[in-house]
Order: sequence, then C-alpha cells, then structure tokens
Amino acid sequence: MAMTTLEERLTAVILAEPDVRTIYPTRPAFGEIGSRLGIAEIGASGESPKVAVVESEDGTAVSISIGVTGQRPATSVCRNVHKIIADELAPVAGPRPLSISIKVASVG
Amino acid sequence: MTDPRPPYDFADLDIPDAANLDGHTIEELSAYLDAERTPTNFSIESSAGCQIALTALARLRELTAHTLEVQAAVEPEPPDSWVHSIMNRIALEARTGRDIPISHPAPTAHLTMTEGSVRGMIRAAGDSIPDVIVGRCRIDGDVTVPGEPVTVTIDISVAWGASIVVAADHARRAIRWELLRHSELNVAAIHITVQDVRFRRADALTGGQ
Repeated sequence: MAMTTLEERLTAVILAEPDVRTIYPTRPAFGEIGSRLGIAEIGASGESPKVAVVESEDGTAVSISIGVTGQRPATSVCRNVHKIIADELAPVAGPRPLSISIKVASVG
Repeated sequence: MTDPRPPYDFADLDIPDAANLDGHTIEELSAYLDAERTPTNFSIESSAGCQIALTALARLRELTAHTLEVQAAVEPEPPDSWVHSIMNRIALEARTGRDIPISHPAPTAHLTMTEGSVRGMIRAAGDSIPDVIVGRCRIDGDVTVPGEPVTVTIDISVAWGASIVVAADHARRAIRWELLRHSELNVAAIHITVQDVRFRRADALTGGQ
C-alpha cells in the first residue's frame, strides 16, 4: 500500500476546502532563482514543497501560503484551514501542535 | 484639462527594482497573458505576486479595451503611457509587503494575510465600479498591529461624462465593503483622488458630445 507523507496528506485536505484556490510553494525564492537561470518551468509536479512541515520533540510546526477564492471572507477560510490542519495533526502531534502558520497570499 | 504631471508617479517609492515580481517583470506577465498563459510557466503560476498582477492586468485590459486616451493627442506622452504606468503600479503593489494579522484564539495559530493580497483586493473592488479604473493604491499605518487605525489611499481615473462624485463614492463603498468582509483592518479613512478623466472610444468618435 502506498504511503503518503504528512505534507501530502495536508496538501490534499487543504485543497479539498472549496474556497482554497491554491497552495503556493513554501520557497518562492526558488522560482526566482530558476527564472534568473533561465529555467521557465520548474518541474511539472512542482518540486517546491507546498506545505512546510517540521517535526521535533516539541511538536509539529506547519507553514503554508494559500490563495483563496474570495467567495467567502478570507479570514473565515483561513481559520477553517487552521482547523483542518489541526484536526489532521491531532493523531500525529497530540492535541496541541507546536505552531500552525497560514498566510493568505491572494484573494480572488 | 488635466494635471500635466505623469498621472501615476512612482518616484516616491523606495523600491530599487520597480518592475520585478518574484523574478518576473510586468512585461513578461503581459506577454504571458498575450500567449493565453501557454505553455504553462510554473514559476509564474506558483507566485502569489504574479497571480495578483496577472488578475489585475487581465482586468485592466478588459477595462481599457473600449477606452481611448485622448490626452495623448494633446500631450507629449505616447498613447499607452497611462496604461503602462498602471501596469507598473500593479507590479509594485502585487508584492507581498507586510503581514496583516488575522485573529485566532489558539496560541499556536499564526494567521496572516499579505499586504499585497489586500492591495489586490482593493484594486479589484475599485475596478468593479463602472467608469472607474484604479491607478494606484497604498495602505498607510502599521497594518501589523491588530486594531491600529490605517488609511487607504487610491488614485482613480473616471470616464468622461460620469459623475466624478458618484464614481468616487461608489468606489469608496466597494473598497470599504471588501476590506470589512475579508480583513480585520481598522480602516480609519479611504482617500480617493481622481487623477484623470478619460474618454471612452465612443465619446471620442463623437467629439465628446
């Protein structure tokens, strides 16, 4: 049976939220570097990770940057994504993940 | 008829490379739109700033498709200089900027929205008003502190024949509504300057009658 990483699981559940349009790569500078090197396309599957997950003894830290549709208030969507991540982390990190950072980078 | 200064002067901004968005220029983005975003450029598609700028550029094209810049006939600037200056503003304002907090009771939650996303939202709200095109947009005040009063300042262009007062009022209402709906900013004021009046193509063909 194929195993999925926490990053992949989080990506899937976040994108299942209908008002999340996209998840931006966690390393935007990667695109800039690629562009300066003349590399227009940086991997069809997007090598840059979309969800940054750092697991330590203290807990799990998650960081993402999302674009939202604008159909619902961006603040509500952001809080809902936080809940989705917290629920997904619960079996992994216990009831209190170390940190969940969500940035709304585009609306509409 | 209008102020002879360039309508959207970005000399007041201390950004060294005014037209650079995650390694892309506004001209690149414009060409990418011309090509109907094919072949897919993953660097552009994965950049929030580029996405905000592409959305604004597409809207600007639509809004100016039936517009003629008649000032060009009497002023030394080329006809597309006005549109080009707005394109440069779009590139500047689509940058990420500061982080604007979103409240959450959990101490482990760090929720924010970027200043660039809010500026994009403001521009879209202004552009949604008939006869209005937003030229520039800025947010003054410390947006990183919850509850801190901030002011929004935009320059707009209004179509010839439209009521400037009504257009500005509608733009102000639309922007306030969007900010209330999508952000937790404490907006103390929205300042609107009508920087320009432009003719529609139909107006120009009939001599503005």
